[in-house]
Amino acid sequence: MESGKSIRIIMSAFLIGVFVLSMMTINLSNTVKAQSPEEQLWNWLNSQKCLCHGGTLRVTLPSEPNTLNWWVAGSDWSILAVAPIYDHPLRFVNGTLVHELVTDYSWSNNHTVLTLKVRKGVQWHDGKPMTAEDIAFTINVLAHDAWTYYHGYYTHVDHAEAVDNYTVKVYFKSPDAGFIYNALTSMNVMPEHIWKPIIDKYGNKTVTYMPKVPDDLVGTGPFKIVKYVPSQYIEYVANKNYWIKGRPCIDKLIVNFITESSTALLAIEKGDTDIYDGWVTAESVPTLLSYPGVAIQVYVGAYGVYYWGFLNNEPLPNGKFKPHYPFNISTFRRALAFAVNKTEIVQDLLQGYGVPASPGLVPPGIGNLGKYYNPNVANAYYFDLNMTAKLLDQLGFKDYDHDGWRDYPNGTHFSFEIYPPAYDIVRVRAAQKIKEWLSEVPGGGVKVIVRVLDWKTTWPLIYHGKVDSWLLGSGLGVDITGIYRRLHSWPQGTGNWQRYSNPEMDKLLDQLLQAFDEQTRKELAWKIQEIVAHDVPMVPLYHRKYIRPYRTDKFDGFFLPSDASIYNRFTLLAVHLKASKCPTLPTSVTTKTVTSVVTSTYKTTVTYTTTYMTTTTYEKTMTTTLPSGKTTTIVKTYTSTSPVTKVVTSVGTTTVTKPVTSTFTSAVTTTKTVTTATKTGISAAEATAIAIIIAIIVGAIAYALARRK
Amino acid sequence: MKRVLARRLVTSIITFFVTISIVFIFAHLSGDPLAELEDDPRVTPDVIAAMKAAFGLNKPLYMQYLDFIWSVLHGNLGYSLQYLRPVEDIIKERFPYTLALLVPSITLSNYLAYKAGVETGWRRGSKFDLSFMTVSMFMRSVPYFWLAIIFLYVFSVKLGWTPIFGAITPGISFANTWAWLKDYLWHYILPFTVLVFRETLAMLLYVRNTLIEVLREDYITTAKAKGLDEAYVKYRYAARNALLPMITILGMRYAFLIDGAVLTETVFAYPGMGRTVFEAIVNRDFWLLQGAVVLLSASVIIVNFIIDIIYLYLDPRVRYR
Repeated sequence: MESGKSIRIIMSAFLIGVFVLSMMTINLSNTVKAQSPEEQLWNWLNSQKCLCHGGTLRVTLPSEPNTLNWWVAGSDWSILAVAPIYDHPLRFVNGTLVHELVTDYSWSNNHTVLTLKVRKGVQWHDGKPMTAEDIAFTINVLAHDAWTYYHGYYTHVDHAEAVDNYTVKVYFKSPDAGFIYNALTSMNVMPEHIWKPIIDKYGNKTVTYMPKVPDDLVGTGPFKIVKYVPSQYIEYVANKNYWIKGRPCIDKLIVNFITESSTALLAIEKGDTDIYDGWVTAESVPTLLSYPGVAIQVYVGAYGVYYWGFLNNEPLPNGKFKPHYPFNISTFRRALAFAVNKTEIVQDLLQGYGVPASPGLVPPGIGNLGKYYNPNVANAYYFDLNMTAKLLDQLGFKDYDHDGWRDYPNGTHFSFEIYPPAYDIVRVRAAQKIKEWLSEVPGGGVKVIVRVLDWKTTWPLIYHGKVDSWLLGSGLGVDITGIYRRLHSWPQGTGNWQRYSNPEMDKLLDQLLQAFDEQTRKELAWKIQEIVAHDVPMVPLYHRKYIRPYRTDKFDGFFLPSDASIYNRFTLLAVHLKASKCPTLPTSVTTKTVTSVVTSTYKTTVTYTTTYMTTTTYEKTMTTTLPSGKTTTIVKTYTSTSPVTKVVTSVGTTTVTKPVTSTFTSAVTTTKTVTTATKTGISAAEATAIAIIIAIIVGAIAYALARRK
Repeated sequence: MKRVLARRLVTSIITFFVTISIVFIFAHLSGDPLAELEDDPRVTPDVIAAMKAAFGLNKPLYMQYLDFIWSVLHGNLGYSLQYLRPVEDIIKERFPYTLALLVPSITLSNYLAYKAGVETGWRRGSKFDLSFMTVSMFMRSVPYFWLAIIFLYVFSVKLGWTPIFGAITPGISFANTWAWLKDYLWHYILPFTVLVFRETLAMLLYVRNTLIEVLREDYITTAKAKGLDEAYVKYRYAARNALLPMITILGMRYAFLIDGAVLTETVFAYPGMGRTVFEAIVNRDFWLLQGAVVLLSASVIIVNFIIDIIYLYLDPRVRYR
């Protein structure tokens, strides 16, 4: 008994030891140097070798671009349509700030001057060099011309100037801590030599200027535009002189437009398009996954939130505000917040394709904004109708006439309205759920009237402050400063439709706008979230998860961020044909690099030689010197599909060739949700068959009846 | 006859102006196209004010109306709020697709409906008639949208005969016109078939019903009693008289077909005016909507005017009234 126990202890200690050792060897390469998140992203990109250059990536957007003139492009689709041809100074990739055309930035001590270092050796598509002048020009146009769509991000900027070819200084009227994250990550650097003459000539009328394709659409981006067929497609070709050498791997990109999502999904099924960057319902996921060669990406719309807003204060025609009783009382709003079951909304209405929102408004740990999330506020309120009843009783909202509904403290009947927009069935049903929950409050329900109207009718009612409450989806921005306009009192709080006003909050938000130190920003953000969770100007409900189907049978190297669509810059740079789809197989070895020398326990020297092939494969050669003095060379050819056998003969060596089927691994962990492909509902083919059978039966009955007459 | 034509012309012009005025009023009463920008952090109130000024939306409504009528009289349709381009340009690049799809499909479907309607009406109650009626009734009650998706699923995805979307294969440069035409027709055939299929079955019922009514007339009995050839009675006596109400319906169908085009263009991602008009309505793109309505009402009125002239020839009663 005793000895058996000790053997077990020794065995388990041994196993643990083996396990730890093996873990150490696995982590060896990662523990050598701690990588910054940005380095990890670039390393991921480098790990995605272009096996060969070539191939056409076809992407479907659900809407056509309204304009190709980026200065005035507002819709997502217009911005996406020109995105491949331009570069940003900086870019958010999966919540990490990545340096693109700006390699470094620094603030002056009083934060009124921002110095940008510009990347060297970048060329416009027409061959002219991209310099600091171009960046200064772009910033100046956006800051000075109110007709540009992005003007709102540049209101603090006085002007920008190029100090030398690779340095830009941006002068500010007042400090703006959000500028780097809001403006520089969304700005396309535009060529001065193309646009200065156009803007000088047309002035304000540049709004209606349609750039000539391709002459006016010159950028520094990885793709050049070659053809635009309105309401059908845009054709791009790879920019061979892109500043990231050897990228992009594909040589053509076609973006087409399909408004109807069922048609787009048929195109995905048939393989007529590789990515569909449009709305897909949760119901179609099982069907999509049942198609061979189709995968889905799921990401969280973390930069926007769906919420239940309350009109805290009513705007008056003279520009002043009047408390909107009882929604001006924070206890009353909190009482309503306790009556909302966010989990049920996410599970039942969104079918799991959502994340319950934090009472503090900042998304729980998703994307760049999620870095500022305060977990302490998560339980500021929760679904508990007894709490609602308790708080309403405190305020005197009781059922005085015993009709089952709570009344105003003065005894008159109380009810209020919720406005969800008619086009979004989830919000309509969420409003009905809220109505249901509030009707079940113990000691008398709260009467809610759900008003479902067309969005174009609902929206003016909300932004003119004419209704009690609404269900709205609003953008929060990529940076924490984005919440400024959602929570600051008017007139600065231009997106604060609740007309919520709290001097303490205003003070914190003003400080946030001027806080450049990351620690201070975080502290302020945490305090702000505590106040939001306590005051409840609105009840944040959920962040939606979006589904993007794509085909995996032709290309590898899709970049799947957790906070953005698969159709993004890193996908465009990394996506490459699979080895089996590459036009030719490799014939010659170009480079050989010795990566490491390891002495094994058998006292033989093992040399790993990494060999990059010119076109399609990646090779590893292992030379083993045996005790007898003979040398064995094993050439491992790594391709993502079938193994390539290669015999290397050289004098004095014995060559052993082994087929290997390994694939590359990536440094960046990307999210991929696996959903079991259980088929629900009927397919279109079955529907057709049923329809035909019904038609035959109906016909037969009709015929029989007619014959009887 | 000249007086009749002149009167028709005057009413047509009045109808045209009444139509575009009604559209103007309804479009402008139904909402502010730029209101949504208020929630966008990138846009400042200055931007919205600048855009309103650029599109003349800051003026009082009656001034906007006068602007609109004035520009219509000058043949200028203004700038689209959505596309930020002249409305003429947008119509020019899309309307040809709609015309090329609709005119042949209406013509063919009307001819087929006429033939099938006359045949089924003539042999009413027969197996032939009943099977036609059943299919026709069934197809009429099926949502058009669903029908188009089924066609797409069967012919494009399963059989692979036709492409799924668009009017042309994206990203191909064609060697010659013939290659282009082949690709164009390859994309054209499915939307065209669906439109013809649907329209034929819809029109067939009208033709059949009017024919059955005509068959009850005494002169048909007389003709039959005279021992005239069946085909002669069918086409010279019955079908000709049944044609008159059909011509009226035909004119109306031309106007209504735009809604069929919206669905066809949406499902097949086919370029054209239908989808553009639909999106202009959704986005309250006043100028584009007005421009499209000017064009559509003008074409519908012209078609009706032509139909009136045809009537004058077909029906002597109109001529002598």
